[in-house]
Amino acid sequence: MKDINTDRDASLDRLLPGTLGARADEPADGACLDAETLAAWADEALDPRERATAEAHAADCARCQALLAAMIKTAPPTAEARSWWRVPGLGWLVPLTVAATALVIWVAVPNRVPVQVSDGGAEVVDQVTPARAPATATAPRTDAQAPGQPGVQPQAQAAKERDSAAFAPVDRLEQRKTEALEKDSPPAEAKANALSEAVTLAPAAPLAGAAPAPAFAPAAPPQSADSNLQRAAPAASARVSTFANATETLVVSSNPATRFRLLRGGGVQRSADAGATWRIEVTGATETLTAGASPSPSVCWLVGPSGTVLLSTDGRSWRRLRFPETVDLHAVTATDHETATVTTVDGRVFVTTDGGQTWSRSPGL
Amino acid sequence: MNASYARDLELARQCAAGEEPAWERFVLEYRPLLYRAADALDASGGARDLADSLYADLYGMPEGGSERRSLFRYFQGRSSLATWLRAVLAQRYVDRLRAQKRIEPLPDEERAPVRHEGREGDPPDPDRSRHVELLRRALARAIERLDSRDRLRLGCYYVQDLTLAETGRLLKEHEATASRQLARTRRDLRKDVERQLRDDDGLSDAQVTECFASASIDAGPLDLRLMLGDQVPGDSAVRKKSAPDRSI
Repeated sequence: MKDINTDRDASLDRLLPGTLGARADEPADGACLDAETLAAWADEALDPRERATAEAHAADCARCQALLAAMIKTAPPTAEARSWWRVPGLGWLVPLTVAATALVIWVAVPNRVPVQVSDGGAEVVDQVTPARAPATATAPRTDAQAPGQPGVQPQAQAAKERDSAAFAPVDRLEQRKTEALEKDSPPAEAKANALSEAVTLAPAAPLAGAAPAPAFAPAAPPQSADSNLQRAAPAASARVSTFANATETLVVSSNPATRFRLLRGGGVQRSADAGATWRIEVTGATETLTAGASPSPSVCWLVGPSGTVLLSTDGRSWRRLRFPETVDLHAVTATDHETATVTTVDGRVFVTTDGGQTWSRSPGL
Repeated sequence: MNASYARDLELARQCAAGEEPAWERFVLEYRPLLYRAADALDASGGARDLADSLYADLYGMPEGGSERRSLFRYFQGRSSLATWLRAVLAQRYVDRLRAQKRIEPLPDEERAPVRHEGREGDPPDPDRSRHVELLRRALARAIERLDSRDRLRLGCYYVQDLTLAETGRLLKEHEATASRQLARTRRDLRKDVERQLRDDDGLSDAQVTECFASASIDAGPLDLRLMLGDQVPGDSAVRKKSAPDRSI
């Protein structure tokens, strides 16, 4: 059918010039366009009614069509197509605007997580401890920062306040969670000790042989809820870093250049240049994902509320895996595109070794 | 009124009144522009004489001791002076071209290329000319039913031989829009022509196909654009030969 239409269009192409020319050679309604009208047309100074009248006449008048064509051919070149940034004297606005935008984003986007890799290959994320936190304006911020805790830079605090204002409804919820946790929590030292235990007992422990890395989630249960100190298991094949109560979660692949950023509302972004630039991923998730693990740049596991498990094996597309229970998931570790361990908020551990087709409870947990 | 147009209008008024400083300024600023426009119309320089005669009319050479009547009096300030000058030049150029075409003899039938025959050696098909004529009439009726803006777009593209970008600029639409609209119009025309041939002329589908096939072989000797040369000379080397293909 397309070939027939194409052939017929070609036939019309051959007939159109002659048919249109014959028609336009007959006298048209109304007077021909005078120089004043022609010039006003070219300068877009005709009002809509005048313009419509002029177009209606020119549509059937060979002379006026030729006049319009002559006007087009004598028009100054490219004058109307010049972009504003090419205007002399304004070119400097482009880099200035870019720099200002970058600065605003730098200040406004919270929770940049420093990722350090120890000699043993373990990834350590330490956002608050003074000895480890970088003392720069780029120090990471966490909404769950305990009041009076050391290590918070003034700029970071101000940015946190701005972020809180921007995400007020969600942050109030997070604040209530934090307050509830703090009310039930032991003093700071005891809490830190408890956290160490929690980290030690994290899901990586039973799978130490496979050496996956654990991920910690914003909505973690009390024993691991403190996001101020998170530590991954040694010799992790998938380096994961997340932090609690933040507006985003960072997942770093085994190749640190590849990173995934989990945003509120289910947004996922991917960077292939260590976070310099980010590309939005289409995952279909609508709820905030809580953790992820990326054992290789092309493979990434993400988990979230209500048994949400997403897997990408090509670094581009995502598929949602069937999880046996609609329970909130808060951590995931993975060794490759087939083997992963997921921890639920109530501490149970599920393992898959076939890319999420089947899941089994990890024995002993 | 646009402020720059007002300044142009004042300059025109001063020139019309014969104020020498204004005229000198006008010559200095606008003479290169007029020559550029003339060269754009005729790259061989054939339109420069029109620009020169336009200068004389703008100055308003007195005739027989009468009061000088400058062409500037007709500038009303609805556009820039530069655009108005281009419009006046375009008028003179097109009118001269059309006058020349009218007095030129039509191409000699004996020397005209034979374009209406099929493959070499084929016997003449008695139905072919009838099919082409049916198609041509159906096409004319379909064009008649088009919106005037669509007709103007078609005319600019097929008759005036403007490029898509130029057509879009004339109609104040983007080149891509002009391309899309042309493709849509051509599609509408084809459907209308097919319907007419079937319903009004009572042709079968095979005969409709034959009509289009005949036209593809023979556009006919009545291609008035070729005969009258109504198009404005331009860079025809970069012209397209068919509309953008948006066939479905």
